[in-house]
Amino acid sequence: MKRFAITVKAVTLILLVFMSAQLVAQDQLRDYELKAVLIYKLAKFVTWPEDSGTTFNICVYGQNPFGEALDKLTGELVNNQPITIRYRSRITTDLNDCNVLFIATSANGHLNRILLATSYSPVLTISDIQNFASFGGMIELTNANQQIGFRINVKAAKAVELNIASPLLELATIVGGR
Amino acid sequence: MPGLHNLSVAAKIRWMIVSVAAFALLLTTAISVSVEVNNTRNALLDRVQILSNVISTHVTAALSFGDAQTATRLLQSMDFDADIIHAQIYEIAEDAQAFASYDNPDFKAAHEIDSSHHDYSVLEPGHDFTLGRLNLASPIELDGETIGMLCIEVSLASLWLQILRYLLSSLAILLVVLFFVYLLARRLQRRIAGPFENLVQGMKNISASNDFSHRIEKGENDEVGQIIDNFNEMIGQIERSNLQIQAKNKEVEQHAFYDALTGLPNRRMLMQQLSKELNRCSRTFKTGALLYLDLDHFKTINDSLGHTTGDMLLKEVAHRLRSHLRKGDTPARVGGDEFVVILTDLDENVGVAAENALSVAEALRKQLSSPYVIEERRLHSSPSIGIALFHHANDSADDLIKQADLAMYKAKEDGRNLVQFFAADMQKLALRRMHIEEDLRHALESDPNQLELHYQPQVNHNGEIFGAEALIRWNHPTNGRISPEEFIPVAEVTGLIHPLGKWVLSHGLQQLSVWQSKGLNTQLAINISPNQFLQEGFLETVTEAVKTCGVNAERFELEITESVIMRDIDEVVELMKELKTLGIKFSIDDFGTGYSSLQYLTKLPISKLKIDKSFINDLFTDPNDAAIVNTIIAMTKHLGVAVIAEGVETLEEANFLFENGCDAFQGYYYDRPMPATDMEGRLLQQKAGFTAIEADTGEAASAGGH
Repeated sequence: MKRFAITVKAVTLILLVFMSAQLVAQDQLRDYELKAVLIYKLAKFVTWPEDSGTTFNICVYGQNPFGEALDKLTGELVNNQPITIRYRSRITTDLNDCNVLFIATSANGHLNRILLATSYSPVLTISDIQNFASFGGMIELTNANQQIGFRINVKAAKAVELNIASPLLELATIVGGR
Repeated sequence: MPGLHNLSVAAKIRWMIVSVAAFALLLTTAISVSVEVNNTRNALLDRVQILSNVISTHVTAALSFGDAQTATRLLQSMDFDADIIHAQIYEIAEDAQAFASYDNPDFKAAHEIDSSHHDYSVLEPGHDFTLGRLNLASPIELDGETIGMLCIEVSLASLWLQILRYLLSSLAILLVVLFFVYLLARRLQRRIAGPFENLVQGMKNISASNDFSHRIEKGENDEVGQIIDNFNEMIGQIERSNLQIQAKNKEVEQHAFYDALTGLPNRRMLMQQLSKELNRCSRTFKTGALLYLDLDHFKTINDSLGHTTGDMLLKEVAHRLRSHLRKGDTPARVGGDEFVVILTDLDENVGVAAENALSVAEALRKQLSSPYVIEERRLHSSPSIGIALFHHANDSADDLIKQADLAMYKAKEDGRNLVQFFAADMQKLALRRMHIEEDLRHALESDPNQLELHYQPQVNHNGEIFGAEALIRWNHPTNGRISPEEFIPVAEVTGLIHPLGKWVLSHGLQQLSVWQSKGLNTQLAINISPNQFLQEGFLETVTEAVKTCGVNAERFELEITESVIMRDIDEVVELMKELKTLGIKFSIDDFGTGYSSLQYLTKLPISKLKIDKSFINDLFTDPNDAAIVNTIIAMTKHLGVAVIAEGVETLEEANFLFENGCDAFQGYYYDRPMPATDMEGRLLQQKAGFTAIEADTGEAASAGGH
């Protein structure tokens, strides 16, 4: 127990040190680096149905705003699955392989279609597009008062059997009811 | 507990039950309290853990996303639990700064002290109870990874309060239960200790009263019951052996002090009784007598008719002895045919006592001499009796027995069937008194001529006879004249004084009546003995005698002694007053020899005191007597009564008395007692002298006139 605790502490410590170093180095990408971490963290509050594949796929649709920040998550475990980062630019059935789909602001015009394409699969849709959650997206990252916040459409997530843990809801603004 | 030794069994049992119960209850209470402590702690822990789990679950997102505000808000929701002092959330990070914290305002002060102490960064998950605090650290996990720690500090004050309440109520219940246990113990103890107390009380009663006929009541048939049974049996044995001892003692005493054949006291008992009597006589100045009886010819009867007959004769003798003795007298068998009788409380006067003893002995002799019928055979036996008197100046018991024994032998020598005194003079004295009694009785009853009255003149300072004292004389046909000093005491003891007194009274009054009828104006004094004076009917006797003789009772005087007054003064005064109504006068005879007080004298209606002759006789040899005589004379003046001196024998005495104020005399110097005829002659002579003198003076006067 003690050894485990020490190990956990050490790992967390190393990770945090590493992450913060990245944040300091890449000043311009600071916002998206933070968001990358948020996506990773958000994933932890969501449970997916059982039929998922061997990897935990985080997909980015549209022009990648993260730079390499997201790639750094590769290999981290979510739900005991190693993270794989994929970049998509077409609306195909491929999108259904994604566990998490981040829709970049560049894809704003195709939003409806993207959401429609993923509406039958357990794909957690995340975006910082304004009113994303109101449009039927699941988690909208907001940036009010220099602070990142969430708007969550629980209904949309529930519809594809994605379960968002209630602690996350504590932090979020719920859209479209729970 | 040394005090416990002195407690009764009941108290011990009570204490035992109560202390065992107290111990059990205390143990139970301790266990239940410790279980309660544990339960309460566990409940608290569960509660806090659930809360902590809820909070840490809810706070994961806030911590994960660094939302301290939300985290704080979430922590704030703990405020419903008053016991939580303080809670903090730590992020697993390089610094130990709290991510969010909650402080219960009620514990503000406590928190400020405590918060500095804890380094939550190194705190591991788990909980830690201290005396006053529960510190709980629960990890905040996200996806199997610990991302932070929720540390809650809980006050145990309310827990302890709750436990204290529990403890107090447990103790209260314990005390109540103990009280009931005590009551129950008292009831139970009675069951066990009751019989013990009963036993102890019974034992105490028996040893206090010494009454071994008591038995202790048995209650139950347990060990105590068996003890009681055994004790009762033991007491029974003691009682039986006591009774045996008493019976044996009685038997031994019977053997030791009583003769087996006759049942009379034996020699040992006799000696004891005799010693007792001797002691008593030296205190009471009474005389007693010891009679020693021996059966004449008993040996012959015994040898010829056999021991059985002899024994039966002895039994009969004992029976006769017993039935003819007074209650206080003790018969005893001291040898084969020898008996001893102790006679007690005989007269102070040895002569009287001797006579009494003799008469008892004679009575016994006659009783024992009458024929015996034994086994239809007439037997004749007689005793020889020896008497020894004892009084305060006497010898020892052994000496007395020897004396009586010797006297008995003398009686045997003198011819058997006789009574013999140890002292010859005593024998004579007793016999003489017996004869006097018999002869006096005979004289009074059938030959009153043996008695006569003599008269001793009483004169005044001029030598003139004014009266006479009547004095009795007894002319015994064979023994000549017997002194009144000898026969009057016998008459007093035997009761002959009453007929004698009556005789004197009637004869004296007759004589006075004769003289009065002859114109002889003399006074007559008669002595009355105390017994006679106080005899019932004395007043009537005197009244009747005065009437029948027709005398002028004014000239009649009764001489009584001081000893009369010593009896019942009121009765005496009453009687004297009655007699005085007849005209009779009283004088106190032998004055000065008694103990009468002046106070008594003033009460009595007397007219004269007679100074006893013993004072007169010693007037010139004993100066005390002269003083006494003077005092008596002075007293008579004071009392206003006349005085007369008796026993005046010389001129000197007469002169002394006269010079000291006494003017009446009686005695040999003037005249001896004389027969009535002589007295009459003297009175006639004096009367003639008077008339002659009267005539002389008358003639002289007329001659002178001429």
